[in-house]
Amino acid sequence: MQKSSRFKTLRRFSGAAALGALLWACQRHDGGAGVLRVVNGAEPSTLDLHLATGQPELRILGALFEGLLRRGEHPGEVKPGVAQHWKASADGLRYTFHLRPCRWSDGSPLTAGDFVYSWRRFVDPITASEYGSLLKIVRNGNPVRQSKMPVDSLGIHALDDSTVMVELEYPVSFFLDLCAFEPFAPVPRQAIERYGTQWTEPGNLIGNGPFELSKWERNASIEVKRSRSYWDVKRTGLSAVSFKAVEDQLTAFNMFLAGEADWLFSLPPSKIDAAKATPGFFTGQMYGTYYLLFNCANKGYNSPLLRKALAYAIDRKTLTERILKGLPKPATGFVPPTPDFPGAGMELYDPTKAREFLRASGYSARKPPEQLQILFNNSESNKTIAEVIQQMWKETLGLEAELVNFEWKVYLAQTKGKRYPSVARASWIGDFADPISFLELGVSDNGNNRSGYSNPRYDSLIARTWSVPDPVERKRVMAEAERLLMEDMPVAPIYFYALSELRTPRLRHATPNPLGMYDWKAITLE
Amino acid sequence: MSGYPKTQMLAIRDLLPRPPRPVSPWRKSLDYVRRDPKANAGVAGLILLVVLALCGPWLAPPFDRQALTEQLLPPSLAHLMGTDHLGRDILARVLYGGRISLLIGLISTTVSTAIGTGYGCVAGFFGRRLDLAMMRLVDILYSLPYMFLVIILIFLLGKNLYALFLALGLVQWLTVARVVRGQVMSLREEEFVSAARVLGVGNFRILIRHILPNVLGIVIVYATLTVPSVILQESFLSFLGLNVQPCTWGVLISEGKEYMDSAWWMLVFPGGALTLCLLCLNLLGDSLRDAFDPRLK
Amino acid sequence: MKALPPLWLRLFWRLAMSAAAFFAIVSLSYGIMRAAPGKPYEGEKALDSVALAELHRKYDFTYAEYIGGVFLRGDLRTSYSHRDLPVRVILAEALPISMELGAYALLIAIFSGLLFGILAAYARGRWFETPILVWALIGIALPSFVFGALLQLVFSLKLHVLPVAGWHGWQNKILPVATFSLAYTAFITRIARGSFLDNLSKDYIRTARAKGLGPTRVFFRHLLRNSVLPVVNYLAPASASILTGTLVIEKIFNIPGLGRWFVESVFQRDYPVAMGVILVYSAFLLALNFLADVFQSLIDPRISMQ
Repeated sequence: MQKSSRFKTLRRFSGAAALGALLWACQRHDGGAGVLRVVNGAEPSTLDLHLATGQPELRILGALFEGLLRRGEHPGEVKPGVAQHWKASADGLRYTFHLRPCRWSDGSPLTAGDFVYSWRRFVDPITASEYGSLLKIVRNGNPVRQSKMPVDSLGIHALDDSTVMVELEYPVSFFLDLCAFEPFAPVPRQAIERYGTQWTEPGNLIGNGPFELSKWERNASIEVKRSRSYWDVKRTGLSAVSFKAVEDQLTAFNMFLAGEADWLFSLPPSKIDAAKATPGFFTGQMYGTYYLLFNCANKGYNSPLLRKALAYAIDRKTLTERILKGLPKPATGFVPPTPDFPGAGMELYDPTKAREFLRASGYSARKPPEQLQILFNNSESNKTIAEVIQQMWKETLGLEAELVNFEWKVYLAQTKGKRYPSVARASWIGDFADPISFLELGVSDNGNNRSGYSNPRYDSLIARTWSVPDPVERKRVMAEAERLLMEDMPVAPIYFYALSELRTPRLRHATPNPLGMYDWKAITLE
Repeated sequence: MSGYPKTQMLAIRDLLPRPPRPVSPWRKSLDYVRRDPKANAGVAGLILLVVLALCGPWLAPPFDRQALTEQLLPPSLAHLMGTDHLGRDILARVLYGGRISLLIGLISTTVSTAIGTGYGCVAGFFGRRLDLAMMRLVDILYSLPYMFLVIILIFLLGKNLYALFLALGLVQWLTVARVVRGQVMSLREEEFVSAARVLGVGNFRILIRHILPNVLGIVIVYATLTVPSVILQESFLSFLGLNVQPCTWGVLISEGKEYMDSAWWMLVFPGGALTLCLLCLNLLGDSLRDAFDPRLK
Repeated sequence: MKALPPLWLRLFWRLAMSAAAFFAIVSLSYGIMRAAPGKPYEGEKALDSVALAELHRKYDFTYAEYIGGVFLRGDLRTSYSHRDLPVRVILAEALPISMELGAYALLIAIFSGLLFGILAAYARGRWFETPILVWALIGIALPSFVFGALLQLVFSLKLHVLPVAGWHGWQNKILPVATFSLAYTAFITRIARGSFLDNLSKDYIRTARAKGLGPTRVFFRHLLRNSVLPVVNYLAPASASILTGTLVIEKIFNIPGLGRWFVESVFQRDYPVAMGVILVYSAFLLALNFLADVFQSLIDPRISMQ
């Protein structure tokens, strides 16, 4: 065996070291066949479906819970989950789901009433769920969320124990996509009523997904094991998954190299070159955009000319190739590539145009716009990108920008309150594969509009997308809206995110869906 | 955090009851330092570092000039220390970073030494109740988890140099205060102080003219040892993502650590500069301590 | 000399002082945390005003409520960012890990520091004196995050003998403890060397030798006993510094200790957690100082506990 020969050489150097290696090698494989060790990023802040927001939480929740539907591998495709089959009404405003007989991990049956309870809890302002606003497409979702209507007026009904009927506010087809999104899965009423806020602790947590929670060591790992009570247990590929909380990307990378982890979901920028040479390197699409925000309310930045000058001066190709090693693609619009959606498809780098726009805006190197700065939240890659853009503005436009970094919470307060003086870095990851999840950000009264952009024509275009029943016409309106957005440039898109992962060669059936998320049920280890 | 424990504490206990000082301690001590090869090496190294840091702008290109076609180049004649991930010249960055790091070290140390000396003088000279209260406060502050307070203070005051000076300065003065107080207490009983008092010299004047010059030696010793500790702490803060400046030795080392196995020059040169600087300061500090305080080799 | 007040009275005073200090620290950290910019409920996505109001109603607390909770019920409240997770649970899980890391590092530092110190003292004037002294200086000047990364590179990635990160078996603990103890080892080496050199030249050693005692006996009965005192004096500040020094080590080696919780909670404006950590550390340091003082005054009543 390979290992024993290594020991022999070692013993020559030092008996003690070799003994250590031997003992360690014995303990090395925690688990055994079928246990997957993934590096999951930050310690999950909660396992409550309705309070979770980040990728690390959603990944684990996707293993522990199952909604009405599951996401397919192809864009827009959905597969049966708890719902065996479903039907939409002709006007696209009413969906009926027929549930299969299935159970919670505590053995109790899962009924239509559980979904009604969960969605009401989800939309309830008392729950304070950040994703709750997604429920505005369900009838009365918005008024309920604003406490203008009682929670039980939400458009979800249990026709009997195995039939759920949902009434929609708008005839949008991405509703089915949302039914596969983790926060729309059912939460266990029995556990919540019994344990209150502590229902997510191991031992208390009851799920209905392919896995169940077995261990939670905070800041170390969360372990889930195959659930025996899951309806499709035969097709659950892994016997267990260990989600390791490792925030330092370099440490995570080293753990992979040393064989202590099987799967990394993100790589430190400094190691992408090294990772690309590794057989386990994987890259794929992700539904997100990295962009700059302009504060449209402030002097100078309220002019589209200055905004466009700054936007057109950024050489996105150089930036993505040189700094991000060619993994993400330069942005050609605000909406990342979406199936059946043309997108703006613009070349956003043009130094000549940039200089013309700057001249037209009345600013110049001698009369620079006030307080030009790039505000970003503290991270190594944000800093590097800001430094590069700073240099590009200096070279193309002769403008000196200041770099300002804040930690996450202050950054959020500054951008959400539109208190940044000029430019801020931002990013958005779509929650469902529809351009509207991006385009909505430009609507005047949208809570996530952080540029302060307000254009009545844009608002009315987006309003139309909600009521147009014809999907082709809807896409056309959205494309028009995106072009208008790029004309006004309240945001300067930089690049479209890409997955960059390292995986053990033993990993099988790990195909990301268009949002870059995985179906834990399908994954197997050789 | 540290890695940089307060050895100075050791000194205090040994210092408290002190024999009277021999005459002209200054001259004797300086002679000792001048003859000590360790101190000479330290001083030479420091002078070299300071001169290089100050002349940085003339020796190398601007520290933030990027060349995206020259990323991660190993050391060569064009770039003596190679380039970083944005094609910036490492030599330029080490020189510029040195300026900031040395500045942080110097100013924080000055702030803390001034506070500590003043505090210690007052407590030691006036003694009794005042001394009791003042030293109790120092004891309490000693029990603070100080690195944690530095972090919170930086958040409160914003990420700028002044915040860092203040935060590091505020936690570093305690040791100086204790040492100076001990010194002053013994000096207070010396004949020359009594003589001055008999002559009707005011308290303030005695403190300034007679006591202060005599504690200056020990103050310099501790100041020399505080500078490296402050510089090191700044690098820890940078590592934790709390850097207040875009380019200090700490920032460069944190960046270099990321490229440790692919571009060693990004870590080795800034790390070498920092280590060299701390080494020189410690050599000098040790020698000064031996000179001013022969009991503490 | 004035007669000292009885011991119990002095102890009582000292204890009262510590309690007052503790109270002051808790208040101070509460004030600073509240004054810092950034809000704890600021999430990435917009929250409705109704929902936000509900969060404030549920989780906000005043200074009086906090102090009351801490001192009357021992209630440290719950985390904001890890919603509803009691701070007490966090502390109970993470504190032992940080303490373990610190304790190992201190032990290693004492033993190897003494060893190197003695070696360096005996090496005076020989060729291997310089390497030891240079190493001791580098140990102080090398930032621990660089040393830790180097160890990872060599032992985990090149030699494959030790794991990179984690805190499960003893294999995981070797590199962090080695990294952490480096600076303290260097300090103790220097202190021990100085103290041994001092004592080697003392009369009583010569006397002992002249009496015909063997070198082993001289070493253990006389030299070691007398030379170790400065090292012991250094231990109180060192253990305090080690205790709060785990921030960096825990980050490099991904150890689920208190330091990581603290850094994260400050970044996240998670006041209850940050204050809980400060509270625990302050209590610990105050207790340490108190015990050290009591110990001293018991040994030597002349050192009055002013």
